Amino acid sequence: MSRVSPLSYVPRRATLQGAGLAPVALYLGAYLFVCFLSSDPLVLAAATAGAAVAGYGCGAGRAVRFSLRLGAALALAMIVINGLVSGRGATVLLRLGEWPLFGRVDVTAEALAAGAVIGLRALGTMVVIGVWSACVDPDRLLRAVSGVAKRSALTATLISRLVPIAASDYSRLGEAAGLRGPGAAPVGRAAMANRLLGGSLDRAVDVAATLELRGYGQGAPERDVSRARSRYDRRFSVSGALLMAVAILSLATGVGSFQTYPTIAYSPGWLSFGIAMSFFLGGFVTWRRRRAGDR
Amino acid sequence: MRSGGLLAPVVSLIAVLAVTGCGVGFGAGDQEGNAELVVTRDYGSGVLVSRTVDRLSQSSTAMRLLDESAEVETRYGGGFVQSIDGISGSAGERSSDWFYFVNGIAAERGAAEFLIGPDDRMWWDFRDWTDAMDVDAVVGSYPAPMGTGYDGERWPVTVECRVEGPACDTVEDRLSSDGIDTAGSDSGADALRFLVGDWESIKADPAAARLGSGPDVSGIFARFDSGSSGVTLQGLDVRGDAVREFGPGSGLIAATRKGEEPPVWVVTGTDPEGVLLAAAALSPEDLLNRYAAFVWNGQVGSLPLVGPAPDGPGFGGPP
Repeated sequence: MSRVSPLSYVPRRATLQGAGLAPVALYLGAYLFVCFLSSDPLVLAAATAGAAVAGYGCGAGRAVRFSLRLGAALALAMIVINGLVSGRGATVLLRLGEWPLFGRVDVTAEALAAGAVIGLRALGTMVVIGVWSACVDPDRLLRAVSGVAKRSALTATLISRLVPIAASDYSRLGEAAGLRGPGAAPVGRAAMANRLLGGSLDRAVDVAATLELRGYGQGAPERDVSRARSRYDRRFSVSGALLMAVAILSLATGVGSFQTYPTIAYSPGWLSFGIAMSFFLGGFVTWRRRRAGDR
Repeated sequence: MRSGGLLAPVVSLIAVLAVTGCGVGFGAGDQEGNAELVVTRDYGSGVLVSRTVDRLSQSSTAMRLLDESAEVETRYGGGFVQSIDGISGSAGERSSDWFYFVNGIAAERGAAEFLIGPDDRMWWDFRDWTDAMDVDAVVGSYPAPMGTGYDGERWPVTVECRVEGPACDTVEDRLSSDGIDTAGSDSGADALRFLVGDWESIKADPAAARLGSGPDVSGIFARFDSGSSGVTLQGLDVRGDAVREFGPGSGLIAATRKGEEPPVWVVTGTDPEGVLLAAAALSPEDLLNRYAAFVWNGQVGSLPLVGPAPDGPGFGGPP
């Protein structure tokens, strides 16, 4: 089993990994934008699917599956919580009587639908962020940020390195605990987390020292600053700009407006369908024809 | 445990709770009785919807009942009614929005959370609230809230008589004929009071004195003026400006409420004759859909005064 987190960046000879930061930010930013702001379930589902397709296209299938699992659990939780907390909506499905803190609890179809839309939004957002995390070199991002906000960049750099270190520490500690023999008491997650937390300051100092030794404070190497343009830059710039324009257009015109209270009102038209298809098909932009020698 | 294995016990538990009557069950749950729904605009001057809801459920909220009878649009996560049948709230130099009363009392919480029970009267009104946002009690749902209570609370009704003559008897007779028992005059602070008397005799009462602070405090679009020529009743428009003055022999019926205290109904007038006229107007027909009512020259009119300049005493408002 791999010790590397599914969301960790893995260098690959793929489109998103090879393209420049700005075109990739524009391309994935369009997906993030629509997932944050749209309330059209069709568009949200299509954007989620498109982001997943984009992730698979550049070898981040593991990150996509992980994000989908995590996002689906979150979406389910949002549906349940919204169903219990928001008694609004005209179609009562279930009366659950009076609850302490909650008061009267009526589960309505509208509250479940509203929770589902919020959940879908969270799911899409998680997939986009998962793809970004697995496909965009954090060092490049941090270098880009360091010119603007040095302290934030240093903090982010430390965190981005500490997370995989903590994950591998957790794995090693687990293996060590398992080697104590069958009679040993099991080690709970809380104890493991406590141990990791206790050692986190030392590990952070180690990471900071390593960064300094490797010349973190001296800025980016010259060759990185004048990085050659990727042949994928134009592809992501154009598709990103188009998708962003479509997203802004759909929000500005209110296409596919989804109203949940007091009753569900949703009338997706052809335009809504077109926008959804744009985001779904946009995911294939990361795909490329395999050539001899490609892995 | 698999989710399929968990479903059966959950459904069984709900079924058991439903059978044992814990308010738990599938669907909205039927409830005996009727409720009344009225939708008006401009302080009750135009009736848009008026119907009796004969299919109440245990989950009938003000929002659900309204949604059954009109096209409703909401804001802020479904808790605030923005538009009913296309009439939409607006903010600008003058602000108008939808407000609702249950049994003549402005509801203190959102319509999606307010349960409506049998015999309740729900009144939605679209009005200009620029100069009087809080109108906490109105007379237009009479005999509510005396006969019905409000939000599960019932107050004993007392008549405090501050005037000589038949006005107080008239008030008690009217209440009695509308099925409301009065509890004497010493029921304490928990009572819903009817304050009956001419203005000079009741103006020291804290509830009546609120009229002097204007409609933004009292929610009543009227005030009395004690000038050298005697007491006059001034009818105010929605801006709180006095647009008409009623002389001797004019009366006023209004309700006011401070915080969560029981409402106080004021049956008053410029003089005993005006009080008697006001007392005689205490009926469901005369007070229907009015925020407050003035009585003058044998006619009953609405307050605030709405619409163009009057030809007669009751311009604007319900006929």
